[in-house]
Amino acid sequence: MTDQLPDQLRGVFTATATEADVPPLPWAAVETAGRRLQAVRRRRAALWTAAAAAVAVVAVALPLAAAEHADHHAPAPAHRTMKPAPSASGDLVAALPLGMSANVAMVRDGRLTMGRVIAVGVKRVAQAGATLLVSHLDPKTGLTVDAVVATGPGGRVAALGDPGGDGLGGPVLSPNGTTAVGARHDGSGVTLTEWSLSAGAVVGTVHVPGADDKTLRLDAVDDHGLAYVTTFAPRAGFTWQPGGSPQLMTGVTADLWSAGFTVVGPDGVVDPPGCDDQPLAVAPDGSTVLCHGPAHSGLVFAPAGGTERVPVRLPVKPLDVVGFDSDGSALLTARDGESVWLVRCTAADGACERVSPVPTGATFPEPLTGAAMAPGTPPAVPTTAPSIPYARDGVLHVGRTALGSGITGAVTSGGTVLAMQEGAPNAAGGSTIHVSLVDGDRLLPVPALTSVGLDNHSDAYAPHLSTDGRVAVAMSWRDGTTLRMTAWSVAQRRVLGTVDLPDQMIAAEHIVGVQADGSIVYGDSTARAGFTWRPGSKPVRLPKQLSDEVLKGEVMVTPAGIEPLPHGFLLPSPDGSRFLGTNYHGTAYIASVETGYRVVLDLPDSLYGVVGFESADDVLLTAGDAQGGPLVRCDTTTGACTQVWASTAGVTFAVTGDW
Amino acid sequence: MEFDEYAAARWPVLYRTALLLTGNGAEAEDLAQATLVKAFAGWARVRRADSPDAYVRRILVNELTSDRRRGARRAAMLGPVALPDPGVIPDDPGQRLDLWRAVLSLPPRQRAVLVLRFYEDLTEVETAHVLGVSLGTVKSQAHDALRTLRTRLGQQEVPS
Repeated sequence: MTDQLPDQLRGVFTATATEADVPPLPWAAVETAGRRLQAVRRRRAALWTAAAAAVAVVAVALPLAAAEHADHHAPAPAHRTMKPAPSASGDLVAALPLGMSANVAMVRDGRLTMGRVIAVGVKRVAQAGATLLVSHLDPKTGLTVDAVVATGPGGRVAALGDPGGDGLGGPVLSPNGTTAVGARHDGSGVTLTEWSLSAGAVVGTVHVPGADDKTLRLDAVDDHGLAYVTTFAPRAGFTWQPGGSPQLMTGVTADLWSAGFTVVGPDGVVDPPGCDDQPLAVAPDGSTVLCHGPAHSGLVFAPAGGTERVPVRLPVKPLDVVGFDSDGSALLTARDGESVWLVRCTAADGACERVSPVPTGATFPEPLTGAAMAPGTPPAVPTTAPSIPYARDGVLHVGRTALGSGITGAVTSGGTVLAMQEGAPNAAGGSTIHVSLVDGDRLLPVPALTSVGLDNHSDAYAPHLSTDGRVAVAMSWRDGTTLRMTAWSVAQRRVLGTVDLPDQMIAAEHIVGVQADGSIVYGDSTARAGFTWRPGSKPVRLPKQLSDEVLKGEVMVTPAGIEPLPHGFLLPSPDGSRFLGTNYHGTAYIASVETGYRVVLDLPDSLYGVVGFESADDVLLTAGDAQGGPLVRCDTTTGACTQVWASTAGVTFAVTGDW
Repeated sequence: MEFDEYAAARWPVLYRTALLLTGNGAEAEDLAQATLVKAFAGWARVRRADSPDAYVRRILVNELTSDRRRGARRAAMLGPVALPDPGVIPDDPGQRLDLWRAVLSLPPRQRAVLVLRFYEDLTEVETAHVLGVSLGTVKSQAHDALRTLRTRLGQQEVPS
């Protein structure tokens, strides 16, 4: 009996290889990339980081400069009245005490100003604090094409795209000015889109089939990115947040919603103010509403949830309600003879003072009239959003926080999250990978971990984290010839040490993991050699060659150290009590380390990808036969699975743990 | 020999080997191209080698290993769990399809050993040199790979 398998293999290999259509040699790409690689190795690389930074500065500064340029070249105002003209009615407003100036934006002749010119060609403005949501006209087409957000004097400008809102309400701003939501009718229904204004990017969309401007109204968005929507057929209110599905609100009556009483308390329940009509403005913290008193007897302040009413003590009838200033006072306009004044009235006693004259033809941003959530306490809105950080369309989501833009990946372990942004292509044909630490609701750049890639495999330069999340390690080509490994303390936010690795044409070194004692294990897949490196000292070669499992990255990092995963398993749970295994047929199972008992996961479709363990009890996977399929959460004890998202298109999950 | 002549002559071989190693046409093209880029950048060193073909073959296999390592991380983020892609071979209902599927399910290094041994017809010593491993490792990898294939195909192991 002879062994036929080698011959069968030769046959399969030969048939497969010879029947394949060989694509043409991509000579131009090879030569170009090869020359770049040569150049890098000869230390003639350009200053990629500086170039990328310059591009970023230009990208931010250009719109501002354009606005300033337009300001300088625009015709000067005919006159600028600093003092009101004498009034036949007796200077009632001018007799008010002069108060401090207001931090309010103003539009005149299409020019939006708030201490400086923010934008020109402005059609519509909403304001929340120092954030402005601006719809402006395209000078070429004459159409409203996008929106711009300006944060504070000298702050950034970010194009958001078309915010929508044609008859559907909105776009709306959160009271703290960090989030905007727009609604757009597309024929088959209404699509809600939420933007992170800090990121200047879309963080999520949801489609409401069959809805239109007669059946749906976008009311508001709170500081946590929770959008409030009214539907009229049937009459109800629902909330929606990116990452979750719309949730029917409880405690909301149709009458309240239809009357526009949309002040919502921290518990997520409508808290009707003591108004007899629709609120004209809502304080950013939701504590007070400005509205008409009984039988339109005049403007009153009404505390949310109370019956007390404080009349606005203005000697003339106000022209318009501008909104609430950051100190909780209301800003109004009032005519005094030929002049129009901006006045401020306090909610405590209704007393008013004059602020400044309003130039002829000037208008103000629309006041905040929608729901205002008391900051700090998110409502108990059920959500199925994954707890593993993920980037959707370049925006990183960590819990309920959305931040950053252009995020291409993330790593998380022990509560630490590192985000990666891919910079512009560099001279070596790769990209500079900028690493940032998620610090609450902001991204803290970590220049020490920024990596210059030599090829287009950006994730090859992704940092590793220790299991406790306290040490980050990354590799980088520092000058085109030296592969450098850097260890960085997350807690102390400082470099613990660096080590330069030998220059190798094949660049085979890679990080295996960070051990419990803080030492880093890395390997050389060419030499199959392993090294351990304690920052501050020299690397030490391990006595044994590295196994295939370690070379392929199929390892787990435990408190005891770095160990190969048992054969056939893909991922250990965070507590090490069980493993996720997958098999050849696209099924997945959980195995208990203690008992060896296996539970097959009841996936709705074949397994496509493994996202990671949310906890020892839940694991996230993707299903289907293509990327972008449904996201599924499975119970690791029962094997039962539920769908979290119908689609994961455009989503990149953080690598969990260090394996 | 100049690099362009070498690349033109070796490209079909590199692509076909890459196809067997990756099981995917697009990945194979990327792998073969990345291999030639590195060979171009280090051509002075490659052409001086005793066997430029062996040197470039080693680059190819190392590129595969490092790319698989990266790929493993991508899989954890969101991607396929190394499920075989049988789409690169014609629809063959017989043994060939089963065998090809089984080969694709092997770990990359075991698959590389089989491809180098039974497609490139390298000796065990040459295979060890390309992979940068010992002769014993090649023997054990080949043994493990063949045993796995037999198990999956339901074949009896032949005593050696």
